[in-house]
Amino acid sequence: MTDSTESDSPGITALLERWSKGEKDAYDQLLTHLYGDIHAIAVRQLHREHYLTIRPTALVHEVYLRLSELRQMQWQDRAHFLSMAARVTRQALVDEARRRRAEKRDGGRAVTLSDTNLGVSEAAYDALDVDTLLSELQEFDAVAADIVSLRVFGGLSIEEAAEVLKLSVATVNRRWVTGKTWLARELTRTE
Amino acid sequence: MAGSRTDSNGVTGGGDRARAYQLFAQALDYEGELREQFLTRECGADFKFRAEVDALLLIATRDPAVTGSLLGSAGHPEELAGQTYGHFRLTTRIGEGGMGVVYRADRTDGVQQSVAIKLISTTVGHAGRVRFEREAQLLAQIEHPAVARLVDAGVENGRAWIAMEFVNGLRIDDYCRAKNLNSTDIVRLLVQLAGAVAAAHRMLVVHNDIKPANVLVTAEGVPKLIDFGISRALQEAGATRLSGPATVGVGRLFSPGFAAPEQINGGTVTVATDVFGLGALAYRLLTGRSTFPDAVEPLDYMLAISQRDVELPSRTALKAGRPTEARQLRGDLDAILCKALERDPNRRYGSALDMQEDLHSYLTRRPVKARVPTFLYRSGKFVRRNALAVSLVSLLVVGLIVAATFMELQRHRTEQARDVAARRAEFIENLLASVDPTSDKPNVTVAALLDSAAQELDQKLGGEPLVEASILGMIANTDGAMARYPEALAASDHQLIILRAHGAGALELGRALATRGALLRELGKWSDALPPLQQAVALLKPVDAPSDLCSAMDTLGAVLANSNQEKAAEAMYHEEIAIEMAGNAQLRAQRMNPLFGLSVLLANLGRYQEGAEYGRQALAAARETLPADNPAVLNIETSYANALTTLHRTAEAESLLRHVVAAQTKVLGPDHKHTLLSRLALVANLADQHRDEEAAAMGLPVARSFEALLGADNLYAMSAWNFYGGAACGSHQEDQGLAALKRVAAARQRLYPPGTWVISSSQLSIGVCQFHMRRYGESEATLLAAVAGLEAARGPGFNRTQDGYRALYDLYSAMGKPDDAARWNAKLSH
Repeated sequence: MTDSTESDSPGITALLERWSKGEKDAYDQLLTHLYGDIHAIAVRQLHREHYLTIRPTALVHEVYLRLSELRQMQWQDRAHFLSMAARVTRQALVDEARRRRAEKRDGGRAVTLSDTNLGVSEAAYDALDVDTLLSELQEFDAVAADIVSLRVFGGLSIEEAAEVLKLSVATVNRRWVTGKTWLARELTRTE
Repeated sequence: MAGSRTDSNGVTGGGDRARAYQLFAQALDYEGELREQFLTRECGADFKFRAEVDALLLIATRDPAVTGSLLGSAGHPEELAGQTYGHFRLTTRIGEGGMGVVYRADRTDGVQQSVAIKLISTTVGHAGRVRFEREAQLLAQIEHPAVARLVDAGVENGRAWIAMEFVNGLRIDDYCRAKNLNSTDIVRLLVQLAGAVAAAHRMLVVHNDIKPANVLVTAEGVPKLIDFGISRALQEAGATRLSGPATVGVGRLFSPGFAAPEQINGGTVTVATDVFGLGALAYRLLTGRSTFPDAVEPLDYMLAISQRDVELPSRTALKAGRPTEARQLRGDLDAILCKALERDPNRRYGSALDMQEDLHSYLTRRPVKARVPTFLYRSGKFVRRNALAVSLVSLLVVGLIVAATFMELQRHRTEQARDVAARRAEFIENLLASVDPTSDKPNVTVAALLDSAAQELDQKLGGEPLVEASILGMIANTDGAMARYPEALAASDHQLIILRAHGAGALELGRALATRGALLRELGKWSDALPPLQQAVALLKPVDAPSDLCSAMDTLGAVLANSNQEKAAEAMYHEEIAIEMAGNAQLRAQRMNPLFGLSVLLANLGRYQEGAEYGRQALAAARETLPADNPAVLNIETSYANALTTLHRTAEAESLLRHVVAAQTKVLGPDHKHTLLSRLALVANLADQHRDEEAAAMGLPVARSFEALLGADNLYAMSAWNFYGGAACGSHQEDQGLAALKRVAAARQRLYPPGTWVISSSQLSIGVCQFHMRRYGESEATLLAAVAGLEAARGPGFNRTQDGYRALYDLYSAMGKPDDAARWNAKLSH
């Protein structure tokens, strides 16, 4: 395809193709590549938004928009791509939050997330809190934790998450509800 | 236990958290009574743990997106791909919107055309199908570069589908974010959209659901409106229940954040509705926040949009941490957006074309028509906005809690039942934030906010007396609702002084007087409450404000009932009911208040059967309009239970009361005034069943909480001490009991006019206690005086008089005076 945009890195199309054929190292390279991209966008957004609040799904959307090839994908492939992006986004935000905390930049303020997907209104939550809580949820409902992570950090739909996790839509729906409710409860806990 | 577990975050340990989570997940399988049984079985007496599970369930059930996805489990994508609808075969699933799933589809008749097909998750009847298809034909004629063309539509197996031009693009809000568009770029997109809307309007089609989800932007930067007129067409077709997170509402569909007031309150949808939609879309894109950022849930949005104006876009942008955007919005764009978002459709732009012109003028730096910023205009608008908020808050205070019609829409949500005070707090915080734009104190308590507002009002608004008065009225109401009576009365005094000095109208003055009367009534200052309420009713009668009038009449009825003017009270309640029955649904729902008043009044007059019947009617009226766990319903259940207690249907009453106390404790907390009232009713019920030990144990904390909440002289506090005292005397704690009874008697003598029955009732309790203490001589004198007083005030059939006869019978039997005993026994009616 010739309609590549200026921000595209030349290797990505090839990597995607190789990955879709099941080559493991292509996946790892894609992850590295995406990490650089997403981290850069996150840092830029954090700089722009004075409240240090980020919508992870907007991050993923931006990456998605820049990689024009992705738009030609079948939805199944798209789902897998987004799941990868979700993983990367979560990691990038957590790394950035830790770094800021360590450097005490912006008064050591946290990186916060806001997303209507969480169902906890427009309030913003500390990325590290969300990450810690998801790790905790992982211990007693790993499936729910995966689903919440995919939805919140990658903006995957219920169907896309079902495709990625090889589960039925009904199961994903259900676990999404319980996982998200639990997360909302923990994030808004006041006592 | 794993060392990595973080347990520092609360009362529940990690293991408990996991267990609470699992139980919560299982409980979702059960509904209603079964769920309750399941939880009781699993949690046992561990209330802390149970509360944790309940908290999770509450979050899950009050979130429409959660319940929506639980109920309407969407079909598996693979099930639908390959199916044909009309001339189209579904190929791949693209996504899901508020109305249903969307597939990409190809034509089956060989023509090269790729479309997006939306399968509406709803059912359409046969008659609806004809209308829907006719409507779709009309929609297919809209042609504009910024409108996704409707290609075909139909109904297959009762399921409506729409085929439209396939747009390869992103939602407009995601697009703006991803491309980091500035305000000018966004306005350019809006100009194109306004043009598209205007083109549709020329064909007499209204979009009716403009929001970010319905605008896609292509890679070339062309915005495309999708679903033009679809929501309307579906409504026309009588489609039943659209499920989905974005469009919630029963009977009427709307998108929180974007729907115009007339879409919510059942007004006529016109081109002005789309002007509002464009305004709301512009607001979202330019400020980064929705029109009412704090009102994400449908009910909150309904309340917000019908009660207040949107905040200035520039101010919202500032709050959202976007100073650059705020600067660009200030002035022209503020004016344009506010004009588009006027709540009264007649004050908005007359057409999408007018709005487009103004947006275009902004881009080309020409004067904008929307801008007429005279100080008078703005301050007038301010008064209007606050007057509405004031009337709303008073509506809350009189006990009806939120317009009843909204509630029935949301019967299954417990969210409305949350603490009324918290709800009021939201209103006042928003409102006071708009009084003082420089203050940014989100975490300040309402009480502190009220105090500082009361202090600052004179300096800030001394020159605008009517604004000041309207805010004072609101402060008085809110303070009153939070049981801060001294502060409330001070604000109310101040308000009345200002209103009178500036010759305020009958409506304002009437409302203010009604507020004052309601406050004095709460304090049990009956004689002080009478004059302002009588004036309020006289002032409100000629003006057309039936809801305010009825509220005032209601309060007046209660005050009359407690001022030895029972006949007048009864007449007042009946007059009020007549007014309410002649009104609209909302006003009719208000009749639960006078019915409730009548039931209490008649029971006190000894007309128990009639009283119970009114109690039953009040309960029926309340249950008709409000969800079962709404605070108002629970209050009326308490009253009905009281009536049952008086009729000695105690077992029935006890179980009703226990249910109410449990529900209120959960929803409002144990020490909320309404919960305390029900707990008090339960104490009375137990006392009536001679379960004195239980009654005393339950009565003591209730009395203490009432006293802490409302002060020692409050009528409820006194009543609670009285019940406690009586029960303590009956369960071998005579000293404490008698002391409590004597305190109450002294206070009642001070507060009530001589001859009022409650004074004699207190005396009766003291006499009974003295009897328990075997101080027969004292007891005889006290009881005889009490019975004489009760007979004079209420006659021999009154239940307290009868209690007195019984006490004298017991006394004389114990004293070995069978003749005297028989004389009093003869007066007992069985």
